[in-house]
Amino acid sequence: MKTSRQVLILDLLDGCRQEDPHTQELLYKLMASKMLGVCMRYARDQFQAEDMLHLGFVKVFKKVKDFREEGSFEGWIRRVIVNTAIEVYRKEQKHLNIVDLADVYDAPQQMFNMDDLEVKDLLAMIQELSAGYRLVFNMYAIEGYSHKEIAEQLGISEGASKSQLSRARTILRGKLAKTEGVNYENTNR
Amino acid sequence: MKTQTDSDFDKLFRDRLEDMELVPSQKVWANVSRDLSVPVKNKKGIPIVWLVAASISLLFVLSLLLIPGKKPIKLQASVQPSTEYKKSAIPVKAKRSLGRKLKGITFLNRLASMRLERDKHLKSYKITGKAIADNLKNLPLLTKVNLELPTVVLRQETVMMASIPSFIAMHVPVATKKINTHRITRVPATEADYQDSQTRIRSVGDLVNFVVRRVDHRDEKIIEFSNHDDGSSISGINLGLIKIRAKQNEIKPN
Repeated sequence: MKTSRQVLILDLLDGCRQEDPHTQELLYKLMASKMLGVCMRYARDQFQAEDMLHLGFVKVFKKVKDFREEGSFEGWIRRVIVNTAIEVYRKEQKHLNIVDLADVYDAPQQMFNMDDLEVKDLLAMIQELSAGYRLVFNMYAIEGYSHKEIAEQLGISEGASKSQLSRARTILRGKLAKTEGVNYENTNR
Repeated sequence: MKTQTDSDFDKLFRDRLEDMELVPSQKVWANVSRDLSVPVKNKKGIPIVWLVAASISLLFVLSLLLIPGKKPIKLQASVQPSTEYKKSAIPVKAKRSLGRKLKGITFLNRLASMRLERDKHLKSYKITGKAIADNLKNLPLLTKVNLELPTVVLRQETVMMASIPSFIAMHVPVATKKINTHRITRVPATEADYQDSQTRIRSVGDLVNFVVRRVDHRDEKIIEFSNHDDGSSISGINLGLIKIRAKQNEIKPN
């Protein structure tokens, strides 16, 4: 299913380059739900996520001629959407909350059982993070960016990126611990 | 208590959220489609280099137009000359038709193109010049062109009137008739003959006098020649403030 969709997306590339409206709509329908999932992690709510999706797809269709086919078309679209989310963040917040590097450490933490957690709960935890924390955690933990890449994209130092990530993890762990405690209490009742 | 590293913690979120999908509302595609159909506006506007170049050009043009003392650029140069030509053409034509003021100037110009030559065999003077034929046609005073070849006998010398401009011929009515030379020499001179002798051209000085009389209507002409036995010489000059006049011998009729 996944392979067949990738083949279909690649077939739509030429039509999108020729700015064919029908092909553009087909590509949108194929990719919109997945890209909205990406946007949901970067946005504070669904409204903002849909705004990101809107801006992101406009960019995709306008810049599709620049796609050099060095990677997958879907990966390129995903990167355009993430860059759009970063731009939205930059417009909303000029400065990140810088945390001292002394607070950043990678120490063993409590083990969480996330099998009982639903996706929407995890998504809600991320969306509750402040914009800076949410952005760095998404880019590093889920998208796989390095701190160097994050620093270049956001115009901050690598140390600032690390501190943002550390703070985001700490907050999420607190939320998970709180959720597990509730679940543990519910299980023992 | 089990421990969990940061990478493991991140993996838990990545595995659950990486492939998450949500169906967007219908308005998203409507907005995308609307933005794609709107023509792209040039947000950058006109490059500053072009603005600077345009400003310099504008200042240059304004300086040309506004600096006093300089001739302004005529954008309709092709129209201007034709208008001026029409304005000047009409009065010139009127002047030529009147033939009063420009008469002397044009006459002198035409005279400059003439030559008086002496024919040794025929013992006569011949007025020649390339422009004579044209002048005959264009002379303002010309009313009639004498196409015949009249001859005038003047003291055994014959002037070929065919080469003389007709305006001269007009004022020498005697020249239009053949005159018997024997009759002239035998018959004593009368008052009419004296008047004729004043108008007859016997030398270059007479010719100049005749021309000057046509141009200068003052009592004392700008230049006058007088005839004597040795030929003709200047007898007077009138330049307005400067007047030179030689002592004149009284001319008596024979």
